[in-house]
Amino acid sequence: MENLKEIALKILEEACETDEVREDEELDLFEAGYLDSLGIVSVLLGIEEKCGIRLQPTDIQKEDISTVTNFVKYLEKKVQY
Amino acid sequence: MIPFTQYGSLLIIYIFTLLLIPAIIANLFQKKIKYYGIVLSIPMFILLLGLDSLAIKLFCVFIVCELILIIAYYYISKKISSEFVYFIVLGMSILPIFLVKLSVYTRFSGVGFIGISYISFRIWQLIIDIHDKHIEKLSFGTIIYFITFFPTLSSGPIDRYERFQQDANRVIPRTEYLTEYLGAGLRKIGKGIIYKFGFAFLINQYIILSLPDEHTIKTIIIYMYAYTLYLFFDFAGYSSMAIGSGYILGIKVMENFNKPFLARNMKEFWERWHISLSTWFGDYIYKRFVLNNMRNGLFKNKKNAARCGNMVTMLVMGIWHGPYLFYILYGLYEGIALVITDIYMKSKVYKNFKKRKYYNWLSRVVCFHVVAVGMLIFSGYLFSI
Repeated sequence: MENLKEIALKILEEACETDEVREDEELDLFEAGYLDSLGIVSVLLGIEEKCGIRLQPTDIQKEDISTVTNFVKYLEKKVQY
Repeated sequence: MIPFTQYGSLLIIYIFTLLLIPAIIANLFQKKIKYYGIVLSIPMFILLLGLDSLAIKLFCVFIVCELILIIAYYYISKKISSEFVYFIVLGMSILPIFLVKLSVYTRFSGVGFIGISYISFRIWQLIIDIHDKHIEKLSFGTIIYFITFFPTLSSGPIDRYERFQQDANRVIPRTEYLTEYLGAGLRKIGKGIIYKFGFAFLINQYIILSLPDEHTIKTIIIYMYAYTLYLFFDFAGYSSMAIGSGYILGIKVMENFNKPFLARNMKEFWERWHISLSTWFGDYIYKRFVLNNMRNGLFKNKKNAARCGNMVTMLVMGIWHGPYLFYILYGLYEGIALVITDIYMKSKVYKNFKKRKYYNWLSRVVCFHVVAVGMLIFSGYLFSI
């Protein structure tokens, strides 16, 4: 079972189309231009693909994926249900 | 017809602000302001829609019907999880505004009331959120208050229910209210007055109205710049007054404009102009369109899905303004502008350009002009030749 953080990083990598997101876990991905509306959709699809959880755009707030750290926390919460 | 235009004159704003004084007193006694807000709503609707007019009757019927729909759907969705029911309910709630917008082409033209377009967004958002199981508890009074919140009745900003009800149900500590709500609210109202009755008024009075009736290249160009600036000051001014009044009532209404002419590309522009509308469209149309169509395999490629999503979303936005050709063209224009922006921002040209010193100001000038042409189409000026 792959560790959740690794899954989170893979999802973000795919959504942002770069592995640079691994470098700084506190970087605001929106401000840095790595994520936008389409990125959010990609993250949702990634969560569905890798964690089997189907979410809607309003199930995720901007703060939940603004940094790697926040996203890992968000995934932990979601996977628990 | 409408006896008062919301925020239409300084006198109306003055009276309106005075009417907000009991809200301040309510907070002084540490009570929820929403009780006063709900009470004040009734005279406000009468002022805005008339006491015995067709508009207020339609308004009441509309609100009651939509409310029944929302509450019924809430209880049904707890028992049955059905996409079919969801679409029927959504369809039924869209029907009234659809008919009202089309009625301009029939002999029933006068049907409708101010704010119907904006109220509808709040209703649809509630239905979608009930479907997504975002609404835990349905509070009848708060729902009505949310849908008909009068400071933002005529033209938004468009709020979201969960956020609104948290604000409405909160008793704000006195010092926080004084600085963050009352002080900030009054400043916003002041700013709104300067924008709308200062800048917008001057541009309209001394430029737009002095243009000759005849349309020439020269008048079109002048009109384009003037109208773009006029629209900004008028709408941002209105928004500021609406937001400020909302603040005094204890609701931190979201901002609608964030220095839009500083945008360096059309994507950034839509994050700075009519923000409550573009985020609503982004959350409820764009993202869902892309998400659903990538799930069902209509699009294999993310890029294509996104670009198609932009076209669809902007077209819907255009048509939402009204069933006129120039609104549809405006939607098409904005959609194409976003697609071109996407292609541009993924190109090497952009990556190199970004590093240049003159990138910021040159991008802003170009972007402003792209925006201005869009506003020219939106104004319908080209179609009244």
